Amino acid sequence: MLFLILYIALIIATGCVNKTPLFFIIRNKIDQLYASKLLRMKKYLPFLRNIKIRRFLQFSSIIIKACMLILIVPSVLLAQKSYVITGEVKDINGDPMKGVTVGVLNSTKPTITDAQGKFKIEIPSSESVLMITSVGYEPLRITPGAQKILKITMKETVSSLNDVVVIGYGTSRRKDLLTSVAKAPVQDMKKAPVPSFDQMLSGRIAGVTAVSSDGQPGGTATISIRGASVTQDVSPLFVVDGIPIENLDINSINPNDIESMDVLKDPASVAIYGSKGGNGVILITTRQGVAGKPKVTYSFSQGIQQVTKQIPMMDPYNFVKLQLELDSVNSTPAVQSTSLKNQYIDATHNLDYYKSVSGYNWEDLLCRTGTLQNHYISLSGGNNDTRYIFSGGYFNQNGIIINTGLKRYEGRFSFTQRINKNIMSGISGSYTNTLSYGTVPVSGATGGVVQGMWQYRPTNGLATSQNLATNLIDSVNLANFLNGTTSTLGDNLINPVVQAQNEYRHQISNTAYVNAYIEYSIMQFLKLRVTGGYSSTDLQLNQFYNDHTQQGILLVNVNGAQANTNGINGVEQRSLAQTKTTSTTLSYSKKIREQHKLDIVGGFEYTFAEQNQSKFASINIPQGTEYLGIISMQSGTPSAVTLGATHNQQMSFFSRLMYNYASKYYFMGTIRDDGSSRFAAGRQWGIFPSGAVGWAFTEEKFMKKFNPVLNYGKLRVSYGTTGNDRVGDFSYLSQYGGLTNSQGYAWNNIAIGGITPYFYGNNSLTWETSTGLDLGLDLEFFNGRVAIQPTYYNKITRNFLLNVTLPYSAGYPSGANGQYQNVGQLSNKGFELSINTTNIKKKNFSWLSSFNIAFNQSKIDKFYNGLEVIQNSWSLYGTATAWVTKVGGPISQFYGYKWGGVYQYTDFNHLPNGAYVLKPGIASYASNVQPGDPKYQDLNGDGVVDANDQTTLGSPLPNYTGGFNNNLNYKNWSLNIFFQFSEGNKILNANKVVFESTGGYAIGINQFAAYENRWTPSNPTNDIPRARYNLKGDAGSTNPRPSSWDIEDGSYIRLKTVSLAYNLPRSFLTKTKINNIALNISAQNIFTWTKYSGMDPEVGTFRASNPANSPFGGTNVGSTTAGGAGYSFIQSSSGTPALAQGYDYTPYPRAINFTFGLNVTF
Amino acid sequence: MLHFKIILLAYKIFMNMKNKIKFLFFFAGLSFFYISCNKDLTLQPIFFQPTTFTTEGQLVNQLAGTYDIFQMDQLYAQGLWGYLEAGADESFRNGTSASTVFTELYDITSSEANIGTFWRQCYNGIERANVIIQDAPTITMDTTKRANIIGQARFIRAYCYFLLVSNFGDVPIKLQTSLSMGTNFNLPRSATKDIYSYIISEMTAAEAMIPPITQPQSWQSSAATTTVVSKDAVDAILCRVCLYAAGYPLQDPSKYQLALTWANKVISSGLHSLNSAPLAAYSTTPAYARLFINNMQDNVNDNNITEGIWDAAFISKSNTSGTYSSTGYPVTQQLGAIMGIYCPDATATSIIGYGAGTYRVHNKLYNLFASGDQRRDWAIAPYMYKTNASTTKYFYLTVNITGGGGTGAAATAYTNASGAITSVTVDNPGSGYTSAPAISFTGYTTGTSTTASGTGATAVATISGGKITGINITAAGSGYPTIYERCVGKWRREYETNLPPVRQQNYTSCNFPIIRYADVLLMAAEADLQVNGAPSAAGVEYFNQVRRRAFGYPPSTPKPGFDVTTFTLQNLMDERSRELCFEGVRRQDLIRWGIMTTAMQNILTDVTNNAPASYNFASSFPATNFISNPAKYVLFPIPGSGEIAHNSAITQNPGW
Repeated sequence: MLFLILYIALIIATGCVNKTPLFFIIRNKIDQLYASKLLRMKKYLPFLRNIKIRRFLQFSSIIIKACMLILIVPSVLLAQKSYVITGEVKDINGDPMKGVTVGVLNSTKPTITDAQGKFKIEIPSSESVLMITSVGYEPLRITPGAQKILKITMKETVSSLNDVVVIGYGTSRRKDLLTSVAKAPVQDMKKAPVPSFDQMLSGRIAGVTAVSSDGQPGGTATISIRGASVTQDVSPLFVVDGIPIENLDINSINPNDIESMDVLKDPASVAIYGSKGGNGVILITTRQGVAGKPKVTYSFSQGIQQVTKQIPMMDPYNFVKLQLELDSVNSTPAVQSTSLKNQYIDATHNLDYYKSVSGYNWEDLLCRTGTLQNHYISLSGGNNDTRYIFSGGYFNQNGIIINTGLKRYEGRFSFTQRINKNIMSGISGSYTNTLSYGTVPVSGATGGVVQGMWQYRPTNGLATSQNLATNLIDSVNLANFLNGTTSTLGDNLINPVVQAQNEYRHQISNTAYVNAYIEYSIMQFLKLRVTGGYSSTDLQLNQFYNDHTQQGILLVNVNGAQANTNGINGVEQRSLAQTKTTSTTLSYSKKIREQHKLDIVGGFEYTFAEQNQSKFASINIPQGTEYLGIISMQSGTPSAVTLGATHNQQMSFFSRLMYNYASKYYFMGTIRDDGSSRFAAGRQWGIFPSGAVGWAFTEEKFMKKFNPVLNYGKLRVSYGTTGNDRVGDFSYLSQYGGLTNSQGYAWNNIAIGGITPYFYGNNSLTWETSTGLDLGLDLEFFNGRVAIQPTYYNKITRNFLLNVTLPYSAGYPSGANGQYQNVGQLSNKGFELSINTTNIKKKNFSWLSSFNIAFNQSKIDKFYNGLEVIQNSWSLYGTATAWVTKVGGPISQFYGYKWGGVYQYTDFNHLPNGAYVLKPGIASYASNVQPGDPKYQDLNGDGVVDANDQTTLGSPLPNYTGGFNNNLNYKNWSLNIFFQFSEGNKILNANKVVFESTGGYAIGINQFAAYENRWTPSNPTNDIPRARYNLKGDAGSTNPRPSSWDIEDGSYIRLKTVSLAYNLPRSFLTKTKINNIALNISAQNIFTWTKYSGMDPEVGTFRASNPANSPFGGTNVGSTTAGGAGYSFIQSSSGTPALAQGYDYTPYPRAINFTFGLNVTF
Repeated sequence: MLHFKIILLAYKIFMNMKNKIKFLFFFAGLSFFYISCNKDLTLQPIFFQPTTFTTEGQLVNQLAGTYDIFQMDQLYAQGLWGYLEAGADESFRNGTSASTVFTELYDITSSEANIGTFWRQCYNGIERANVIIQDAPTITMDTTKRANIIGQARFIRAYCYFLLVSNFGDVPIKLQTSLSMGTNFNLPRSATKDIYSYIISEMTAAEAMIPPITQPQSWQSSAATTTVVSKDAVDAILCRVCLYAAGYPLQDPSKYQLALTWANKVISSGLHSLNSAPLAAYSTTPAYARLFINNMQDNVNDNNITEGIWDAAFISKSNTSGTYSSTGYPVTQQLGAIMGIYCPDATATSIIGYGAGTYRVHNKLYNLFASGDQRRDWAIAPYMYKTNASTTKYFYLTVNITGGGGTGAAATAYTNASGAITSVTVDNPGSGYTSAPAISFTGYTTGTSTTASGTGATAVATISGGKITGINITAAGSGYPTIYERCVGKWRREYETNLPPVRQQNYTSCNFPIIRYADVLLMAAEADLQVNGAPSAAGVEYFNQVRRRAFGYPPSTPKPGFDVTTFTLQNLMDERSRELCFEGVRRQDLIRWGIMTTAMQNILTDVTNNAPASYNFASSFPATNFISNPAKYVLFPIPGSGEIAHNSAITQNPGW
């Protein structure tokens, strides 16, 4: 027996440190020993004959299963008869306790106490251990012995050590954990008045960050655990009620339905999920029925939303002043000076006239007070054999930008039924319909309403031909287009209000989850559980652009040139993602001779996922039918039909052994053997082992004297390996582009479709593996009043997966220019600290706090294949490298020029002809720089500012993040105050580049009021360059360059949630059937302390599609629209690449939410 | 068999056990079963094109994909005749700022997108050809057909290297498919000399595999055409390659002889001659124009294989509207539209077809033409269109000769930078003049304005024997249009035969002549001059054939008195510019002759002296930039963000 455990331990140990010769030798010896035994076995077991022994031994998981069988067989033979026990449970005040669970250790048949606190239970033997548990009370273990009637008193607890934590294919007491598993404070989180759990998660758990890109209704946050990998997709694996879902539709889960949320952070705890868990795992358990009388809960909330921060814009006076300044001697080339002037100034109107013009505040016109409404009702109940819960919810948000919002209808049920004393079964399902609608700010400088809100002119000047408030396009170029001087609209200036009012964009997702299980207790300590799950997300994106939108405008100039060749147009895009999962587990849980607690689980799991996509567009829809909206697509010309489909499968075998001796010495070992169809045959399987040991030193005799202070202490060390297979389903395969005309040729006017290489696979593609050490202490002081958990971790990720950009000489067509490779190695090191305290606990008043802080440092250790740097570009006016990932640095750093202030007159020689020529020795980047132009530092001192002077400019990754939560209760009142913080993260404020003009200014575009302080001959500031007409770049380029001027400190502390609740006194309700009424008011995003000048420091608007998520996988030559519409669409976690974080450009404004709510239970 | 045994055994054990143990063993057995059966999880992809070729049909499609690069914007849809070529001394891109003039003109960084894409398209062609060369031998097919197709692929691959080496210098030679390169794509550069040797040997090998232009190739579904690479095309291009190798920077004089050999092969094939008459439908156009009208008409009315040798093919089937919408046909060719006669009518029913008139002509080129050279007023548009639905031609500058009793006289007026008339040359003295006719001038500038520009010029004609012998300016006037107003007129949309009949505003289906017989004749003459030190009789004849046709004489019939008896290299250089202007060869000609810097200095002087202020910036922009660092700009940069950043084995060109 012990020998077996030792063997398993050694397998795991050697798996982890298999370079250590000693372990290797021992393992070999043992392998040989077992091999000889097996050889002997082979004589008797003919079916083994054809299995190679070496290979057999590789699959250690099977060995563990074999071990389990050996363990089980004697137990089967020892099964005994049963006894009946009755009892009564009371609290310390002597009041009977209702609803207390009374179970038998290792048995499946718990009972609960009735209203009088009484219970009756059948136990296998008088030596069986009774487990008496109730939430908020210290659990008890009682061995009845000779007693048949028990009097039990339960004590309230403050310690969380006995909380049940879900750990994947099982649960554990917090006390017994050896790894970094964190339980989210779901009850506190739910106090935030937000529609989805990702918005509640930030700052709640040390090491878990959830950064939302902006305030878009329906937008979801990028959740990452302990620092992101460079990999395709940083989002963790979600496991909902035991079913792993790689691409969870976060909006489909109503936070009210969440019972618990547990986060597996370190490789050792994640290893049970093997290849899928590389980014960590979030386990969500939904509410289940509780035995008892039918209980109805209804909650309602209604709230409003307001923009948290407005950025002041120039008023008409300052705007016109800026326009006129473009006539200044310094504008090169001089532009439209007369026409510009004539637009605003004439004989009767001078500049001062505009002091009296009120102008338009587009922000006020575009934004509104948003509303939130939420209804939720649930019905639950059951008895010992049957439990059920039904719930339904409705959520409706009108976003703070007009014509945007989110609507959700959701229904859920869960039903469990005991079929006989040995068989339990359950089925649960949910269906969610989510509609998010309205305009989405775009990441590039191609328009979009938030850009429009800032750049649209505050005054029309003297022109009467255009109504600024109602015209869609206000372009200085518009007149030129209409009269035929130009044949395109050029830089479109979009009226944000008209655009937002007319843009039809509905994203509808219908998500269904169904899962069922059947659990057979072969013996009380041995359970077989078979689970099956199905999930589907049907996503539909409908877009329709009428003639009042930028995309559907019907302007034609005198020469017949069309501003938009697509005319009025619409797109419908659908994708259906389906996942089928089945898992079978056998779990063994037994206490042997009281001191030895053994939990073993083994099983296999199979997942098949498929996705289908289709898209079609219709263009040039007749204006006569556009009133029909999206339906009018059928009257247009069909266009851009694309279809795509893909699938993948995974198979896994896993086992976990947990052993503890007297809750003092702990051991855990896990192995998962995973196969994925995402790699080529021969590279599909990976083994992910882990091991952990723990020592609850306070259980030692010599520590007992410290018990009054330190009541619990455990040291735990774990080490393990996890994987990651998040690449496209067929990234390992090469593809040729389809037979398309666009890549063909017309010899003698006969068009022949072309086949061209499109995507080069990588046969050698394999798992990314993360191996990590986790060293932690669990400490509880003063009987649980203070709990402190410091943890140190060091995780090394090898072979990380990335779509590597290949050189042009590889011969790719435009578009797909990458190959998935195992690119390099990185490490994440960090320290986390959680402190939970019960500051005050009196009869009527209590104050509980929890604080967490997490430091993480990521570093690229090395790249393979000669790769030196990974660059990521912004796409503003043109593209420029704004992020780099280099060896020795964190995974993402900003990159660009060091700001050197503004060129001043003193830098120039003033020539007799009036020209300013730079003095010798003063570096510049262009021959035509003039006083007032931006200056960049010549870092290499060669006298020229060029690409070689670019450098790293800080990292968007924070030094530390965390949260501070407080619960205060006074009689029936409870107050929750939650702060969240982040320190050291830099933000690339690209808004400043465009709206505070780093050198170039495109005429007719309004600017931030801060730009009023720009350089002028009379205001020779060194902070903001002059207004120079040059579209957007500086003197040397029309393409702005990233510089340290755009990069700001994004550290912040945010008062995130405040919630005040009042429970109506019982006395009020005694005469009614109502059990409880609670009223609450709560607010979210209340105040943020930050130096950041933008709208909000929690931002990440780099919206790049992730090609790995596209089911098309790059098969559609010529169709650039198809890419990235795969599951990144559902899982916006993938939308923000880990390598391009902290980008702020025209985000959807973040809102402060105030809600009033009501909870009724009866 | 193994699985069967397992199942059988499992069943036996199962039947002999107690209930509970039964379950366990069943479970364990199932695990074993899964492990031993399903180790390979591979799924077949959906919506995938395989990376193996099994039929010759696919191979032809791959060849179409290989040719596809020629219709890319950076190659023959604009770059090679447009923005990459406007940096020489024939044309310039009109505009007021660096961005509209195009930064490609030596005002760039190494990450300039169009240069990068040009490089990339060449390597796309190379890779696609590599695939054919690798896969064709594995397909069961007719051996002649296979040889034809492989020959095509080897030629195109070599041609791509030719484009690369002449524009970028040393470049990586990649002869294996990317598929076979695993994950290491770091390729070093090969020396220019080795690349030229490689190109010549590859093209020589391909030459033997490809039939002559008159004989459709076995894989072709159509008649003989200049849009397919023929033996003649390979010979002609080989001649060009050899001349480049003989010139700067490689300067290998032995290649002149080789160039002459290949040129002679084309000439002696007897398949080629210069067009000596216009198409019947356009009898008033010069014979010189026939090939360009043919190009504009997709060679539909005349398959053009005598003077035409190799054209890049284009079609224009609108993707955005009409019958061909969403069919994905590439609609890329801007010849005729962006470089063509100015016409503001952008509608789909435009009679003339929209012309932006972006590419303008240098004064220097205009002045290179002698009186009577029909090529001048074809290559350089003498007129433009002004209004919609109107075919009225507005001539830039007309010398009106009225009265005097005679007919047929014609003259050309020249202007200076301020639009004053500086001189008038009589192109045709006319006949029957009894008194001096009245002379007046009418001018229009490019644009929609129909108001004549220029005032105050007067002149008097002198007559003798019924002919006008001279026109003398009596007042120069001002504001008359300069040459900088004139657009490139070689390819004219008014001849466009649209397939289908829907005009695209900015795109045409005009084929582009990559090489034609006149070029071969001039290359032969040049090689002959270089080999012999002075032109031989044959060389002089080649030179004269081109000249004769330019002045409307039958090309192959000697014209004593008109014919030259010898020519210098300078004569030949000028003749090439007159004959081949805007056809994408000038910049490389200047480079291989080693006179790029001189030419750019000359153009700068010319612009300084003759360009009006409004065109000064655009017309001098490339020359100013080039002269600032000729050693750097003679080669394009190796694409910084596209190549250098991802290929650790490559180096940058000097100065970039």
